[in-house]
Amino acid sequence: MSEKYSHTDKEQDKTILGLIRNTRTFERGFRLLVQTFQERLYWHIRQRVNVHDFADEILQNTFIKVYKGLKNFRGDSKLYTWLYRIASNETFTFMKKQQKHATDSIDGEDNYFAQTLKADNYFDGDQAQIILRKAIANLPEKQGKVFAMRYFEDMSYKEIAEVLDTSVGALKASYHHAVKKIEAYVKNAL
Amino acid sequence: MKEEDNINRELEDLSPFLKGLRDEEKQKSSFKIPDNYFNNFEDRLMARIGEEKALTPKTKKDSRKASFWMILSKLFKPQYAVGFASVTLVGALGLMWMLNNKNSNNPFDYQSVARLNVPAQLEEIPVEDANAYLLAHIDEVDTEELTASLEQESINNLSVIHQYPPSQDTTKPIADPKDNVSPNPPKNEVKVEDEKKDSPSPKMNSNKKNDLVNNLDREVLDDTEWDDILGDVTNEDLDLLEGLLLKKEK
Repeated sequence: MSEKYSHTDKEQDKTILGLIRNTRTFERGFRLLVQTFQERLYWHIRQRVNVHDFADEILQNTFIKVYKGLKNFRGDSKLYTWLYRIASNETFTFMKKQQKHATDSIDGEDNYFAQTLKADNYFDGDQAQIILRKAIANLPEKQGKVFAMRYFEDMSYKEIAEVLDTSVGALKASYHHAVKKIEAYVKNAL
Repeated sequence: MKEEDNINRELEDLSPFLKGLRDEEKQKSSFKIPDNYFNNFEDRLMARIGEEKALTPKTKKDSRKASFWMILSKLFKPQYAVGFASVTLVGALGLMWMLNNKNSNNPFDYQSVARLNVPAQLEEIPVEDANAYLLAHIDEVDTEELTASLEQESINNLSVIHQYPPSQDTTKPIADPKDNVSPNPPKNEVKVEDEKKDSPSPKMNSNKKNDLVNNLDREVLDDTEWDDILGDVTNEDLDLLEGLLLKKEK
């Protein structure tokens, strides 16, 4: 996945930002940005919320925020880093709301999660995959993010550190903790 | 070296169990997406942005316009429209009435009020009517206010004093002395008389009596039955009379 989207490509950022900074070519620049990053951002979001409809809604909200904020983007960070942060925030906000729904649910948080996943027409995983997703959902916010980025999206520690604005050492520790917790959870549940 | 290889090696060391799950997932992804999802996404997104732009005012001026029309549209909602129409109708009728009555006897015509000669009109009231009014409303009049408002002439003509001896209870209307001579006075009055005797207050001392007599109008004195009157006069009454006489001297 990281090969397909070589977001460190400074030339690509330069082209998109060049188009966006000109009022007449703003729309074209924005469309190019969407085409370039939509798939990667979608999977980033989907790995956190699991359900396609949720991911679709969050992805749209993310790009609307990007559209409104692009004029203020000064280019201090890489474009993909900035986009990832917005997507992460939108996902986090959405998950908080979902968590509230789950808490209010008669069936309880665990059943709500499993039922939502099973009800998703675009999920085709077995029981082990459902338990794995549930285990990730139970992790603390930062550990969950780090695990998903590395385990599902094949991101390097350096890339994750840029997005989360933290050190590589701290990320490694978070990832290792997360792996141990998930392994214990899944083995116990199976 | 690919990052994927690094991740696999690291995971193999940390948890071979999770490495196995990951390999399964790589071979057959649990997540699917609708056909042509990414091909259509851009157009759906741009359509939604277009809708939001249409709803969002661009400038402050547009924003003010939008809020004006919003308020106006609210006013014409059925639940507000009836109230709004009623207020407008009442306002219009009021305006029409005011315009029609502009030249008639307008109670708020301040020029007409200014033309009124109040003292002249008061003089036209007969004295008997004025006295009758005062006696009927004596409860509402404060004694000090009444004495303060007496004119010199009224004080000179203070002959009424022998007709209406002062009452102990100043809040009650002054009664005719003949009523007091009733052969069977009410028990209440008898009690009051007893209380008067017991109380330390005071009948008039002889010096004050003489002063009073010397200062009163001779005419009035001739017609006065002093024993009947002065027997019930208190120091309070004397002070009041002194005040009146001082006013007369001035």
